[in-house]
Amino acid sequence: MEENNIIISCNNVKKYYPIRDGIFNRIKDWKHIVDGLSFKLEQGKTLALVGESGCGKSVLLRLILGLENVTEGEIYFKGKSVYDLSEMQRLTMKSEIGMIFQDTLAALHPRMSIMESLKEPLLLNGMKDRKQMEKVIIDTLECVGMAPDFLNRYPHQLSGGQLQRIAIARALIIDPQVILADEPISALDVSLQAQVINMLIDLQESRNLSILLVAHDLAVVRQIASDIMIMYLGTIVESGKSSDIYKNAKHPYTKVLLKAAPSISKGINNEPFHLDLKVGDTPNPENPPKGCSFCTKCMEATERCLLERPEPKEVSPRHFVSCLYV
Amino acid sequence: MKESSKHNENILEVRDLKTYFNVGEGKVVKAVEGVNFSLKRSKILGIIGESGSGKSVTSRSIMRIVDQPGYIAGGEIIFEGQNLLEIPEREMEKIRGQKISLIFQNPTTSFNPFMTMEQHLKEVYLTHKKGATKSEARKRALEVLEMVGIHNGAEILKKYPCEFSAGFRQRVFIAMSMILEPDLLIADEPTTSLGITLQAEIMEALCEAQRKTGISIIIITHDFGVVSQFSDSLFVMYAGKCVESSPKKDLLLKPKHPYTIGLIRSVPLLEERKSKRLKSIPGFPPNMAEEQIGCSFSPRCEFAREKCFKDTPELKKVGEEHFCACHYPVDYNVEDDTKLEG
Repeated sequence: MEENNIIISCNNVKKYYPIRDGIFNRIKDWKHIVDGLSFKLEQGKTLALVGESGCGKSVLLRLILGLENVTEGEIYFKGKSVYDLSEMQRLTMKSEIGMIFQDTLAALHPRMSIMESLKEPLLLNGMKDRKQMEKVIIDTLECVGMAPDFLNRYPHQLSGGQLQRIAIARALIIDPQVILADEPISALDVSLQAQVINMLIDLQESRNLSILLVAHDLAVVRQIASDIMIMYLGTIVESGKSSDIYKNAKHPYTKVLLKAAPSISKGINNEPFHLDLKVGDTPNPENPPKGCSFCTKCMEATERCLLERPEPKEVSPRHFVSCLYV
Repeated sequence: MKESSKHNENILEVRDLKTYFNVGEGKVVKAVEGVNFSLKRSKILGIIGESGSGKSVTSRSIMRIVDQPGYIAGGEIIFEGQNLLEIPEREMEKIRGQKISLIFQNPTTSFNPFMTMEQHLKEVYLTHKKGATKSEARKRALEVLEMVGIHNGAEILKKYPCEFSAGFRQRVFIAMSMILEPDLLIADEPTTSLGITLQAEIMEALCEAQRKTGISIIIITHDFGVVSQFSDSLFVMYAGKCVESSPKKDLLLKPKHPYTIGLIRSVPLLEERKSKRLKSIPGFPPNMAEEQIGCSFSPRCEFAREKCFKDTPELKKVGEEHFCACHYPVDYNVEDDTKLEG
């Protein structure tokens, strides 16, 4: 792996939120939302982050964008630490990252027409020529498969799928090198899902984009991503090439996920639904287990798992698993 | 002998159901326009369709809880030999909950935050069963909780809805809908917007309850994976009409209707596909407020011919228990696109 090919790299990133209590609002404890994450995103690759709700996926994206500060660890964008940048450099960095937020209706201003919403990132990027601006906007809309007559509409007049495309157009319009996408397809219908997935694949190939995709649907991820990270309670339990994960999963949690994901082929073979988890809630990030984060739900957990924290082990090239018994 | 004949009888038969909505200015949205299907006792039927295809309106029509300005414009809903559209509201009230019950999409809003789980479960039982005592209600509550895989029922009953996760609440809700031993359960998107493990947890609970009671279930969803794993037969809806219905395997492996084929082609799979790109269906579903001439799928259909734009196709038999509403049913094999095998 060449170093200058890496767009984003995270090194042992941690994010804790304080829990305040009492009349002086003193910090009582910390919520460990992201607890020691390291990964690298290469140019032109799609990296998917899979995990359940509440495991810290969205927070990680916010950290990378600089919307929030890390508690510990380093995030590098093109080799430079995000937190060492000057205000100017930070702005340039933001113009190279496009973000697709999860709730598109909330992400677009209700009183701004689609035209105005799309113009804003261009203005912030210092584009002044009106004609050029219009051309860029219409080109980008075409790119996401929408006609220019949508420009004068307002967000509430569009359907979910159309809004999703506008959100993607808004991320693309500044011609970014990286796209951070937070569940871009989970709210869409089947036929639209396919359209958006195809669009992301097309864009990636034509522009050599890097995509960091957050999702919980394993089938969708399989279609797009070249590399996958499985996240549980703020830590990455398994990461590797998508074929490694789907065909040769090692971590108990990944196995549970693959077994639990519904699919047509399982239906054809009359496989029942199956969930190999211990009963109970996912542990609270306020008070994470001392040892392996998955030990409270794992069927194969032993006493050692409760006490010892597993380190990522490389089981085959670039396939890392954090489990004591692999 | 008697037992087996009972198993083959249709518990529910919907014939030519029409539900319209008056949207003002003399316009009528035909949300459900002539839907036909039947469900055998102890079987599971999956209804698939995109948003706006009329799935939920169909289920609400069966319960007769279509909100204003909607109304049921015609058709028959035969439930256990009785047409539900002809009986008075008083009778219908007895059927709701006792004979047919409904599970909603959002488990959080289905509960009253100020009531314990015990109060919730008992309320349902005591309202419907006249003369039942509280201890009977409690006993039954514990039974149904056991049925959905909750073994420490006595503890759970003391708690409030906010003390549980979304998945657990949905589990209790399933238990609640089973407390009166209904014959038919309608699950309207029971797992949409939940994560993988929660989804599996709830589907497992539903399966378990089905096995133990032999209840018939209609599950409504847009998730192909869920229905194909859960149901015995499938039913595809498009623009308020049924386009294809058949036993599960037939529909998944040898679909006949171009829309069904389009859907199966565009679903991302857990297995590798032969091509990197999915084959999506071009265009958008039709605007339901406009009059539709011909087959409603024709503008998006790659196989459409002249006749498709003029005549509305009827549901025709294309195989054993396999019905398809298309003038020119397509012979298509799923294995052409995927590595799926029967």
